Amino acid sequence: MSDVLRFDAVTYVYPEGARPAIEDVDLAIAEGSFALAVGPTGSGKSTLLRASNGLVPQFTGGTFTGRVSVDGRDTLAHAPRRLADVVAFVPQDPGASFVLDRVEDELAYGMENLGVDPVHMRRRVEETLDLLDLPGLRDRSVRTLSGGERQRVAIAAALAAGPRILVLDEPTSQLDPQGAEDVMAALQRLVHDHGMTVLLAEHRLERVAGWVDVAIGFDHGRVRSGTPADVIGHLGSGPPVTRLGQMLGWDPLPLTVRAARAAAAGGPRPALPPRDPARNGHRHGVVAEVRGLRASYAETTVLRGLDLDVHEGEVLAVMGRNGAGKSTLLRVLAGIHEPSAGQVQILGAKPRPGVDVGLCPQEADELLFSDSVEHEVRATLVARGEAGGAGPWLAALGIAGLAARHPRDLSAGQRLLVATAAVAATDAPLLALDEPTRGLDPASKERLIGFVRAHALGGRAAVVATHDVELAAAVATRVVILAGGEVIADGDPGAVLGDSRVFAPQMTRVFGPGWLTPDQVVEALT
Amino acid sequence: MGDDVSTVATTVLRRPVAAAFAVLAALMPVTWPAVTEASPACAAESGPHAALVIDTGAGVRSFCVALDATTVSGIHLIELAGAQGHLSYGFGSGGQAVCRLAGVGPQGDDCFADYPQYWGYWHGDGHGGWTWSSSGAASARVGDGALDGWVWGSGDSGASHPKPPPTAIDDVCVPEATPATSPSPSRATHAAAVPSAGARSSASKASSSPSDPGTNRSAKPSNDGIGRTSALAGTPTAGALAAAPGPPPASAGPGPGLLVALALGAALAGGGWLRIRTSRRRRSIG
Amino acid sequence: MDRRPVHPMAWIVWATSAGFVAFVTTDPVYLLLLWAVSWFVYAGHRVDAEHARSFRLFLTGAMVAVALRTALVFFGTVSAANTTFSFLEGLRLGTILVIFGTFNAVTDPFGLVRMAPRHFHEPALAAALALSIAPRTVAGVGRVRDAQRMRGIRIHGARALPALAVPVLERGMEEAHTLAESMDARGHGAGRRSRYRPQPWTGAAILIAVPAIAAAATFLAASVGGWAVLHPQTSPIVWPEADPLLLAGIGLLAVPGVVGRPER
Repeated sequence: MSDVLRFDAVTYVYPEGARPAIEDVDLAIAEGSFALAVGPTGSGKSTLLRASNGLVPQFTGGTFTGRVSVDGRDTLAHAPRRLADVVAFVPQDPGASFVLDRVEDELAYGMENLGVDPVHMRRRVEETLDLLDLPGLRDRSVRTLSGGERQRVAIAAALAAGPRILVLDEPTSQLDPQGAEDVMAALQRLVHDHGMTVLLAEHRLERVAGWVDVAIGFDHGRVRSGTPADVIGHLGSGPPVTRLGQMLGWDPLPLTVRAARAAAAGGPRPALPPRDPARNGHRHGVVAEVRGLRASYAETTVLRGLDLDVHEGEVLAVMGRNGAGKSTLLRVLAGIHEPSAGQVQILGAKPRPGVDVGLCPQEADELLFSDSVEHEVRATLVARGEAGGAGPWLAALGIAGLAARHPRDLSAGQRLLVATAAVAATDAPLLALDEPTRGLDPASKERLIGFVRAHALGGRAAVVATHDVELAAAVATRVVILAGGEVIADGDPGAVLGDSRVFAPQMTRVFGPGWLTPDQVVEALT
Repeated sequence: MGDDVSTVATTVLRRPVAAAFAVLAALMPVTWPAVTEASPACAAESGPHAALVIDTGAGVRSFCVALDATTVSGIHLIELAGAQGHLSYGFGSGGQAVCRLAGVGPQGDDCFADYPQYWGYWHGDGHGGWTWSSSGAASARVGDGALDGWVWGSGDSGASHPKPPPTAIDDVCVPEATPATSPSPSRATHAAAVPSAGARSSASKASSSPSDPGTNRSAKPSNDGIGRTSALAGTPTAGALAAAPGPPPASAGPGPGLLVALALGAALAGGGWLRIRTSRRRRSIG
Repeated sequence: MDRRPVHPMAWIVWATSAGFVAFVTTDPVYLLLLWAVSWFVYAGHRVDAEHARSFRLFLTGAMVAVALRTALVFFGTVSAANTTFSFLEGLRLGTILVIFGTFNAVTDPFGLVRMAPRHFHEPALAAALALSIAPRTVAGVGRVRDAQRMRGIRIHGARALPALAVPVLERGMEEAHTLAESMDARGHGAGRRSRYRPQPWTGAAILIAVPAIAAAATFLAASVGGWAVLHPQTSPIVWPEADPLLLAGIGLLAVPGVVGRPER
């Protein structure tokens, strides 16, 4: 089998970059591989992905040495548009790359550019629709699709052009667990049944580790490729089952729930899950009270008659499928969004945004406008008349080292942390975070978890809307699941997550309900 | 495609707004006469009048214009002719120069956009002769009995630019013999090419002298005073086509056309609002 | 009702005709009716909240244009006539903006790009990106304002402008950049293009384009033939006229409001 994608001694420095984004990269991806690029945020994954179709350096400038060839073609000698027949790139936010309005037209767009004849095009469009389970959506406007549907359409559009290699940047970041699984299954079908080569970058390893057969580990711009177990095992921050395996000394390290169950079968079973007193915070005073909440968004009714309480010391995880109303709930709590009926009270009064509730939106970039990280946090402090410095807030999120950097120069995950710090600086009694782990590598995620826990301990509360199951398992003291605009589950994380097929964390899947994190299991076993 | 058109047509007809259109369309034959009905005449009244002759090169139109002051500027004379006789005009250079008359001439602010052709400005001497104007239309003064002429052509001075056809003031503004004997409003008299008996006095008056207070002038009653249609259907007289005597509609108030426009605007605004409400409702159900 | 979207050229014809009508007259009756017509057509084809907001933006912009142009009279001698004249000029400008707002709200700019001949692909793409920026920017402003409120920064007054402008512009540019990048990476402008589906002239498209042409022709005839007053006089000020034939022409421009709406 030939190599579809080759990197030969590639080094690239962004214009105005201090050091190389990728350095001395030698890589060969064989045809039919299912490859995963993994590593901390800012370590060069996105850069490498964009170098595979020539966007780096042709669209980004900078200094490029070495050679990248796709299907034998040098990316420096061919414009990206001339590589469109061999490599297709699906960016992180598929909505941003949709050109046309109807799904069917979007699928055909790539082929139109390549001059494929109409008969052939029609056939390919049909096949691709079937492959990704999209035939019912062919007439729909892409604007009306859910996040998961959009992702599948973006993949279908990339596929329909008939490339040899499909490159995807964090394809499950916007998806709920079910949607993520659908996408991964579709990709695997493509690899196994149709000989497609797939290269994807992903942080949420619990969603992908088990599907891929080659892993490329990134560390400060340098890469090391090998088997998934090898690379991920060396990272020190793989999916929960891998971390558990590392802590318990399992060999080979499990990457999937199945492998973990097999490994655990041979050893002692942990005792009944302990009730962690620190986690199940005492139900003290009520910080937020919601009664009979009805709310709409973009002319559709999203929340129908919601009742909810948030107590002091609580970290409440709000979960649900894409479009279940999590964001809308947070916006209503923050006082940004007017409910159509019902009552919301923070500490007994109507919520004042930025004062009673600090909300960090999904798109962190919407907050950032200063020229340094420190100024960004100070902007919040100044707005509330606080004389102090930004230092403590930066330290709490572990980004003190970035204080002098310009936010736009940072990676997506780092920017998210900056935005979180800026919102945390409101020091509001209720901290609300909307999908705070999107694009965050495991190390940053740990810092965030620590921060949220500390915040809640101070007599305040936090609400986190997320579909990152492992985050909920690690940080929540209470979990609420929304569906159809209503609360369908509310309670102790072990119970709620343990009861759900879709939102069950890996530990639950291995050891049963009530088991949430590897640390918990290890503690119980020792 | 024929199917598409017929399905669309039937769905269109079923819509209430389309029904409104149909109603409006049906109303038009009713409103047309109202709109085009002759406005009350003013020509029989006394007062200063001046004549305006427009030679587009393709034809000549003349207007007897009732002045609203003892003297007016050449620009204002044209505006009055527009109001009274439905002359269409366009000014440039901030309203100081004449660009367009009776549909001829450049649009916009530059009156010399079609150079070498432009509107040449002449003053009549009352007997058929013309003098090239030494001042612009904005500063020229026109009084009772004056004759202003405009010719579309090329030529940078009176020596080279074409003149209007020889015209006397009385060719355009027919003086009444006495106020008592012929007070006829122009609407009633439809004496075609024949001037009313006794109305024409000999054209011996100097054009620029103030009129004899005893003599009124009226516009030549050569057509029946119905608005714009008659402007095109003028009857030829000696040396000039007479336009409709056109009473000034300035004081006539909003016409029926405005009411129709108002109704149309309301229908559109209401229809649009309704559409948005129904589409919003449809969406929230889904 | 035909489910296929309307041929984009129909809208171009409509917008050009309506724009032409606005261009040849300063009669406020016709111009204000054109505002109502644009509103009506937009209401009939309004797609989603994003486009609604961009239309409102154009509407506001048009009113601002009218106000500004009217205020320009203060640079010269102020009189009722001059003010009216300034107002009418401003109204004409505003009308063109409103028509463009409707056009922007009912068309898919990228559908238009595909129709451009090959060598015009780059500028057509730039134009499409520019056109799509309006609804995106408007949506962006709302979101950024909310985001800043959420951390306690209220946007009012000029001092808060960076907090609003920077994220909005950055995001707008970034989105446009991402889109342009992705179009290029998918082969835009690489070679001969083929067409997936021919875009026939449906009955709806004809009903949009043909009446518009008729309306423009009517006004052209009036302008050339001079049988109707297209520029009401301002000194002295008179009631503007409304010729029934021209009113009918304006009515024809409203036809798209009741036809050709793609069902979603």
